[in-house]
Amino acid sequence: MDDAGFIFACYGVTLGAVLLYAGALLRRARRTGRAARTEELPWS
Amino acid sequence: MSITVPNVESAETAPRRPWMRLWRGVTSTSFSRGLGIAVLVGLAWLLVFGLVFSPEDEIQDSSVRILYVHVPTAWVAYMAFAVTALCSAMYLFRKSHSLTWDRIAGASAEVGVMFMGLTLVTGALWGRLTWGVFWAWDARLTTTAFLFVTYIGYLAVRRLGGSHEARARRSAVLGLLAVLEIPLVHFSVRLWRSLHQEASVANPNGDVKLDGLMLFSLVVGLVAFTLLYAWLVMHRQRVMYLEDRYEDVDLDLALAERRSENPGGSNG
Repeated sequence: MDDAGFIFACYGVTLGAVLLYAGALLRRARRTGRAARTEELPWS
Repeated sequence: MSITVPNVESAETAPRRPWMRLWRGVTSTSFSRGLGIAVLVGLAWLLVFGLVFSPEDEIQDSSVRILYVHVPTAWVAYMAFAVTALCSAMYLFRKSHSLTWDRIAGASAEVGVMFMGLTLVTGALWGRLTWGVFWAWDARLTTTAFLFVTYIGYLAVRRLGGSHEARARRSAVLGLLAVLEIPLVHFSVRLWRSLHQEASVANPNGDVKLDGLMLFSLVVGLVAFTLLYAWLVMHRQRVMYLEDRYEDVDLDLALAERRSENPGGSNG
């Protein structure tokens, strides 16, 4: 495959950014949700 | 803005292993977990089809593989900003003025900004291979960068402070104005002379200019990133709900403290 560096960089940057954002989101959810009781959550 | 969250975790709700804590997170439901699995499967398919099965293009060679990521990220960013505008309108024009609309608008804009940033990065990589430069002051690229900066401004406006209702009102107005840039970005390749190619699939003539397997790889990318967007927005707006709730609790506690310091009620 020609230009493999650019192509892997493209997939790597995209998936890396998405994973970082999703991980940060789940950590934030865990931190903010520590004191919440299940019955207080409208989606549960 | 800092939020004080009491460090309480009941034995009943706290799973022991770290992966279990992620799997059974407080913003998760059985639907969001199912959606998460569909996202992982979609992204795995995208990697396989985009990097292995898709043929090379006659003109672009292997750089066409970048488009299976670049086009879906651009699509998701457009959709995210359109959802922001729709939810802003729902907040402003419905009688209930539900803050849920505002939270979905904010969550969608945040996810959209991330995807718009990725569109610019992946587009720069594709541009380097196809045009020989990472960046050119071309109509499509410049208007896209302008759209990106506009929504960073939208997110900044959301964090200006004040009550939740004030935040919702001002960001809803901005959300409705900012979305007007999307047609400008989309049609910039037709309005001005542009290096950027016109749409290969959703073009006005209706002729799809892609080989079958290339088109399938692109559709896999579009579906995977759309599902990913839904998963991210679902969790982000739930985190926003929890943050808003703790802000309210903090405010109530501060007011109660203040009242107990000054039971007479004089403000001096």
